[in-house]
Amino acid sequence: MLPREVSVEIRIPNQLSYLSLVGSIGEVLARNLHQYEKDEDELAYHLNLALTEALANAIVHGNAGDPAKKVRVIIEISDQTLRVKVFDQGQGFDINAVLPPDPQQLQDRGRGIFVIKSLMDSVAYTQTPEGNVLEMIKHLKQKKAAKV
Amino acid sequence: MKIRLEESDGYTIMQILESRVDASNSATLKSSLTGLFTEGARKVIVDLSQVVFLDSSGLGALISGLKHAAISESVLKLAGPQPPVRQLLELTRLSQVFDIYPNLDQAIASFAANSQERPYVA
Repeated sequence: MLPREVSVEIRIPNQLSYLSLVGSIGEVLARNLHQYEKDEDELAYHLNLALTEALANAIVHGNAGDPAKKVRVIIEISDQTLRVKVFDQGQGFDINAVLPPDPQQLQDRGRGIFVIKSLMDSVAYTQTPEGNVLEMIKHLKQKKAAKV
Repeated sequence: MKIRLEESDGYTIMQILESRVDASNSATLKSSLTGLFTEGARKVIVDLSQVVFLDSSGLGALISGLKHAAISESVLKLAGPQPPVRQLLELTRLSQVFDIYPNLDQAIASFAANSQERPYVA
């Protein structure tokens, strides 16, 4: 088991081959959260998936595949909250303009943000002095888990 | 990405021999599926039973395959999705779009059951 408060920072090259590594780190962290009141295995899978989607978005779209750029990930665990920040060095986008996919349209792409929003309790994408950041929050205690 | 192809009795089985399909390897899945239909495959089953992690780019590769199947008047079925993969298909409502079977045997059997109903145009 982990201490109740943990912060992990990961910096990776702008390469998709790192998706599995970072997703796995998130999965192991989530599996060892004793404060989570529901299924840790499900949370672990969801965090792996949300991290994978966010990282791929940062690498391919945010950083436009530029090998000179980096992606930074911060995972912060507190008693009540799991917070993940994924930083990219790109132009940014309006997360609210990303519409839910229409299954009948059969688009090959465009489901990543929808998946993240579905799995996490809140998601925001903002510009900061450190770069653009996709911030995802999961409430670990049931009484705090009000959906936005 | 490791993929095994098996052709048998008019259908092709594409077995994905990876536990994880994400944006680092889904392009290979996409191009392999496209290639199958371009080369004339009419009935294709993608065996997902070894995949325990699939992201939206993996879904995109399967959707691309489904579209190529439709263009070439062919059929693409999915077999054996693990619970996390099934959950993602349902979350994205693509479970309504794909023809999904619990295992390979049932997917194969469905071709025999439908053989009189589906005229595959050469």
